[in-house]
Amino acid sequence: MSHFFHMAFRSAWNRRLTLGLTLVAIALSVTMLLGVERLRYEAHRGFNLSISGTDLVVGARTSPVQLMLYAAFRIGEATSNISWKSFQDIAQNPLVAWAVPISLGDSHHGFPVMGTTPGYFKHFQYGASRRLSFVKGQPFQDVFDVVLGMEVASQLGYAVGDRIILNHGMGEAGLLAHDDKPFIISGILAPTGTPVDRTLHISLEGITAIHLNWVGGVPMHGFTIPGEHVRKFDLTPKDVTAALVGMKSRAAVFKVQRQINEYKAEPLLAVMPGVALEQLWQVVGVAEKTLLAVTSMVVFVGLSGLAAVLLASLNERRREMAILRAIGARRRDIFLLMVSESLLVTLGGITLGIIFLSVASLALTPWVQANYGITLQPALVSAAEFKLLVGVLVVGLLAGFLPGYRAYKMSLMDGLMSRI
Amino acid sequence: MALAIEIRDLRFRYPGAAVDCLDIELLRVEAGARVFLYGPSGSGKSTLLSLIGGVIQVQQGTLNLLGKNIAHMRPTICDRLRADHIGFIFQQFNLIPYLSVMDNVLLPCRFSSRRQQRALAEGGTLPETARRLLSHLQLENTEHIPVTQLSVGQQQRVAAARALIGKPEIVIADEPTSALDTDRQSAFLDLLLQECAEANAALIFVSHNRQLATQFHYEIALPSINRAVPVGCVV
Repeated sequence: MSHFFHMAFRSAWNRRLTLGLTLVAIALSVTMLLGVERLRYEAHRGFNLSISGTDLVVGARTSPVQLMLYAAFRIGEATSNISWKSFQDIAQNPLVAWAVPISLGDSHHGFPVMGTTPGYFKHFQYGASRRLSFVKGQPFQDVFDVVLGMEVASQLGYAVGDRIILNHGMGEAGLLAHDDKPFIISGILAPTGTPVDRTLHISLEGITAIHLNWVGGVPMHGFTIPGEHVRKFDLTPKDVTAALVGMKSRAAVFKVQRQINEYKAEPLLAVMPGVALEQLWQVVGVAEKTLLAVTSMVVFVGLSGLAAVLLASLNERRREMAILRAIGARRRDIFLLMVSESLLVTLGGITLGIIFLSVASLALTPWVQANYGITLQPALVSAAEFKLLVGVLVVGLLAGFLPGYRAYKMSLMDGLMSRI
Repeated sequence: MALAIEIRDLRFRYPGAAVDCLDIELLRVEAGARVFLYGPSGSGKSTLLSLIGGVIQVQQGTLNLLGKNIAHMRPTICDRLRADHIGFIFQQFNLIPYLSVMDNVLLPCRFSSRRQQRALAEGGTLPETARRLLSHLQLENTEHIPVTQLSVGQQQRVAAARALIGKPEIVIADEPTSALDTDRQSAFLDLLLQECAEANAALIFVSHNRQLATQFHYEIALPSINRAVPVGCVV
């Protein structure tokens, strides 16, 4: 059998240009298929890991998915805030172990700024019960201290002690700067692979301080309060964007959730991260399935191309088939010759596709991380991807059946064909 | 004397054709015989050779190959018999273009373990046997040349080496010289006859050029033994 594959390989090598192009087309389609699957998987994994230690996320009443997205992943913006009073009521609930307020809305070179309390560094958990840790420095203590996520620090080249200016609003350009009140970097967090890496953390008092002289989203004209004087003001926040809440006992989650949702003073929403994410995946699931269907179609097109190339090659190979038959090849061998060729090209395409994907994910990891907060893990092939690849291989095999059957028929018709 | 090929009351009609292509009462080729089979085009030569090779199936009558009736044999068994006992040489384009001279010559040994064993029994390895055969056919030092760079005459001799390796009992040459000029025709024929004699193979040499018939034991004219109307072979 080995000489048979050797011959199939030599024959294929003889037509390496057409088959090579087909192979590249299949490889690219496999890259797309696996890429979509990998992004889907990493998005799920990343989102689920980002907020693993939090029992409830509380915000102003909106859709659970939207609340999750802005509170936990800094995607989108809050439509309204919750009052400081409401937050304190939640924090003082006897069933609640800890509550950490977060206040969003400002940014620095596109990275979100989040106001919070020192409790955030103590209580926030991600992944498998992992806590935040500092590679350098310490949590913020002064009003104008800022703690950077690892990626912010490494991308912008900041070190502890540097002074930075925050901007009002989210985005890259055209933002008003809080340039009258620079912040000093007090610490840098270890990388987590979550949105924390992309966040600048300041105290809630800091958030209040930089907005003291602002009204309606713009600084009051001709009126500034120098940084050294802000401490004379009451810096207790009036409201916050959302709160992350941990229970003393997990069993109390539903009770507290109901209490918050029925809170009289203002409309609040408490969601369990897992449930909200499940809703998110249901919404996104349609798009995921569509994407998978589209990329599957692309693979199918690639393999149809292979079948077409093999069929087109049959005429020029008619002579070759007749010679092999005369030497003693069975009709089955002729069939197998075609099928093994399609298998060879499909396998080559899959291999090259995996290489393309590995190279692409290595190259794109920083970009995907920066824009979508998804960390691509360098991995060969997961079980789900393997299933897809087996599917590709089976279709590739079937793509060889048509030309194989044609060749089989032709060798019956041609006989020894001494005069072609 | 043992018979290499014996055909009795053989009839063959192509599917969809109105009349038979072949209708042969008797045709015998003794083992080791050198036979000149004469037939103009359309007389059923290719059909007859395909039947003898077991590439197409006998519909009616008897076709004994080395004493075995291959009519109604399973196609895979016919394929095996062909691989084991018959070497073919065609008019031209005999060689697999992407294989080397050596690989082309050794191809029958890949399809037939019997041919492989017989080639090894001649002493030495398969490449040594092939090299010996190639040098007998005046093809020294050609084994690594791409076959597409050989002259037509050289290609035909490589095809002869391939047909002869592993000493099959029957060699069928279908107009192997018609692509050669006259000088090379007789040179090729001399070498082929000599090697068939050495391998003790029956040679069926098909041609429409009767001038070549002189060096054979006897001549069979296909039109005279085929009782079918010639139009039956035009498909």
